[in-house]
Amino acid sequence: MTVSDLLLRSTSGYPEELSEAGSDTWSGLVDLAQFEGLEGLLYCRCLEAGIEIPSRHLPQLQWSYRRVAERNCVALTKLQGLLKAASSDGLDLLVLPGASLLPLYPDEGCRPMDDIDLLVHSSQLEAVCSFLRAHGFESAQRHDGLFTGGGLTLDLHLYLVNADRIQARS
Amino acid sequence: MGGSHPMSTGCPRARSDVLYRELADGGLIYDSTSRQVHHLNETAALVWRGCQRGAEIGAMVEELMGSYSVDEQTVRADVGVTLQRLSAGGLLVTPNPGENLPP
Repeated sequence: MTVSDLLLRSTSGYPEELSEAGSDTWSGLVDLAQFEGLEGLLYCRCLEAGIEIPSRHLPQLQWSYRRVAERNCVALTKLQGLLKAASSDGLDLLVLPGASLLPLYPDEGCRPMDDIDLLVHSSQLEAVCSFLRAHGFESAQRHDGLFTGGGLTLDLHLYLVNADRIQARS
Repeated sequence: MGGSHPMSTGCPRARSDVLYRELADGGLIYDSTSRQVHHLNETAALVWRGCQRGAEIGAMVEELMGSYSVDEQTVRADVGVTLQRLSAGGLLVTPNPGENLPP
């Protein structure tokens, strides 16, 4: 079994093979998990199954898992408040995967989330941009649909399928 | 907190306005008021859950003794330290005098 297969099986909930993995396999596995953003999920699956993680890799996996959990919890709490305020202003925002996929994972530590994709109705785009600026967000110069503020990065999209980022308008 | 020790005036209670998430190796509390994140190990998470449901300290001690092979004195001391840390983090409230406490 390749390291890639082993990572896929482990993070899918079948980490039993790891109990017989050697040092080199573990090193390759952790490197690949880091590259794929799956360190937290690997750590969680091992804990669930009672697989002993080698002490050499334990701190890295645990730190990554906890850091992702922290970032996601903070981001989702802020997003919740923002969506509530937007709704009060009559703005319809739909959270696109991956933030909305988080409940499918064991917990918030298992899936890193760089930015949050939001679907915006084209007729409300300008109003949403104004709303975000009023709430302290700033848009990137070269991407009008990308807003950052308060530790959140929001990526606005007009289309559900092939959701290209909104092009710069100037 | 009012400077009072949570163990001296009855059952410590978890603040209900903070976010708590159960994790594979413990838990995480996010206090959006102070914007602070608190990481809990398995023992601290168990104590926090006890505070959430308003459990007596003795019940927390019994639950921990059922999960770990540790003597009561050690467990009681650990629970006390954990409650002090949660209290220092501003995460606990003490019930008002006369408020109904769980049995």
